[in-house]
Amino acid sequence: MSRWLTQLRLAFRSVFRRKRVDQELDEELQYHLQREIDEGLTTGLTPEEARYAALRTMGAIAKSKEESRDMRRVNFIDDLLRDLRYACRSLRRSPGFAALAVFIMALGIGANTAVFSVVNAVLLKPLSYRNPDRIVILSTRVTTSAADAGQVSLDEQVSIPNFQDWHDQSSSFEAMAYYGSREAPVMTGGTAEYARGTAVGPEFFRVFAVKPLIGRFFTAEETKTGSDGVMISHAYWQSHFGGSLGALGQAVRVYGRPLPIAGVLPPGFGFPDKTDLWVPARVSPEDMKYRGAQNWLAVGRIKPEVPLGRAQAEMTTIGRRLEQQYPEANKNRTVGVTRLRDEMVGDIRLTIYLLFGAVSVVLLIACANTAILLLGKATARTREVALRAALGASRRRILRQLITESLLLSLIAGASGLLLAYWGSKVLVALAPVGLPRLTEIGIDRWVLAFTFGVSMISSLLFGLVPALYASKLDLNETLKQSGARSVMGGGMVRMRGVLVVGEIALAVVLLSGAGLLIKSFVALHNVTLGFRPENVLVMRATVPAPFQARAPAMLSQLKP
Amino acid sequence: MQGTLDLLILKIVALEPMHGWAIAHRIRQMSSEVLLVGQSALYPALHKLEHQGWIEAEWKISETNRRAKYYSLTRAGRKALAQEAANWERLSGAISAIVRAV
Repeated sequence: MSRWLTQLRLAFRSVFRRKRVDQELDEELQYHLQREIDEGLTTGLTPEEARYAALRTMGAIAKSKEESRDMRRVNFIDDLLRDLRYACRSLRRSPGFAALAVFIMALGIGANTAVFSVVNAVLLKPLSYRNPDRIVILSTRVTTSAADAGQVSLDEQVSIPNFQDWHDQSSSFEAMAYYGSREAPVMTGGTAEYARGTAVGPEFFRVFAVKPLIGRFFTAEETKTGSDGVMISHAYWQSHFGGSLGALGQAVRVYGRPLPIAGVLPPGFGFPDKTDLWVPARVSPEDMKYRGAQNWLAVGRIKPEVPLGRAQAEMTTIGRRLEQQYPEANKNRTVGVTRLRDEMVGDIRLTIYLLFGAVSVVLLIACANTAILLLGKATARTREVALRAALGASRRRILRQLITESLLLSLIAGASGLLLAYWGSKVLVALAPVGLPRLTEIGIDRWVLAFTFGVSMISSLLFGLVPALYASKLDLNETLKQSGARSVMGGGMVRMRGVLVVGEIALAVVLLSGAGLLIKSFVALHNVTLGFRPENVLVMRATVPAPFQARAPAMLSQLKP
Repeated sequence: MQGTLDLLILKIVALEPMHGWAIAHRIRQMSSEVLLVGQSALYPALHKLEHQGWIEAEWKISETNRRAKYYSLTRAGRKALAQEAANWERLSGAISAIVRAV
């Protein structure tokens, strides 16, 4: 280990403190020379003779220096730095080409980074709950046989009696809870507004394994009886109570009913749909009684040792049993167990992958474009390459030089692409369909950075390798014999350019027709006749708390002109 | 012979830390003037061994009151020396056996 470290330290020193190392080598050899001279002097030579003799025995000092340097085995890094410097110079020499290539690649890489930031946030990043993969949505799975589509499954809500049986008969779950969520009129202090309120069953917070930031949860008894009390989200606490501890016990009026605040949830928790307030569910007597009253949603937390498949199998068995027991309410109904993340992401997954596919094609087009630019440049620099080859550079060495140049281009483009993606992901968020889950989590994090870096590296090979291969493969004799600036493009190069152009056009056609189809169905969707004239028609919704129901018609008539 | 100089250097600096000139001097002395190591071979070898982590270098004031780079054996170098020496014994034994037989 320490030996390895020593080697690394020495390698670093040879690269970055090159002058110092060379000086030391000089001093070392100088010392040797001096000792040889001293030796000569003791045998009775004159200083002049001693010096001459010493130099003769020492042989070629320059050669020894060069060999000592080679022994440090850091040529690779040395070469890389030299290649980078050379690449910088070469790009500066043709700023137009460099700007164009960077611009094209920045578009490609930027688009990919922006879409990847969405993929990352929506599909890849784990949900911010404890062991999120064990949280599942439980649903009534209705199977219908359609004449044209065969068997179709649909997930629906659950009734309280069915839920109770699921809960009591299953053993795969740590906790299982029903809940219902809606926009509710809420009064805090003097202001009335709509806030998202969720009525929850007894084990709801255990499913998510959260603890209140301050205060306490409802007791099991409180939840069972649907007693008065409310939990508020961290965001609601901050915006309405300024994060004050005094909020505990204060009353919030929900549907006109004053509820004392029992506790505040930790920041970031807002299941479902950024809930502001949670109240113990009050289940109506009808809901208690009818198995057909599928008015509730359900979540559960699977036990650590139980795989999803086994939980699903158990719930299917329970569902079958309930179907036989209560055929009139449960015909063709079993239980669906879906990971929360899959449920949240749902159909959007396909859309996002489609988008990802589209921007990948854009990147390929950008690469083809840049490759064509580079091929053109390769033709112009055949003489330069030939000269380097004539001076003894191996083909591999020239290839490396050219690829370093592509790499530099690509990395600059990647950095600019990151900027584009930063704005781009904001645009994507603004354009995103309503209900796209986890929107607020979209942004640039280390995974996105790593992705951009990786894409830049890969693209540099994609667009740089072929032109570099062509540029480095040349007939020295022929090229050097050609006079002056006129250089002829080889047949292979012409063919390659043709292939690239064809590929690029093919990709562009795919992309355009895809986009065209999307736009067509979008337009068709907008042109569906509604059967009425939607101009000047407004939709309005008002919630009237039960105590004021009698006054509702009078209030409504006030709105009429 | 390839690697022989490495073995000699390792063996010499195993005795005590020494600078380049002294190493060459000592090799000449110990071999009774048979082995003469020029600096053109010595210093590349020293630098190679240093970068392999078998010897380490330190600047000290020499017996002639000048700054000199002293080389000494590392732990890894000690192991390498044992192995190289064993290899050498085997090889030289084998060669001399053949030479004597013929």
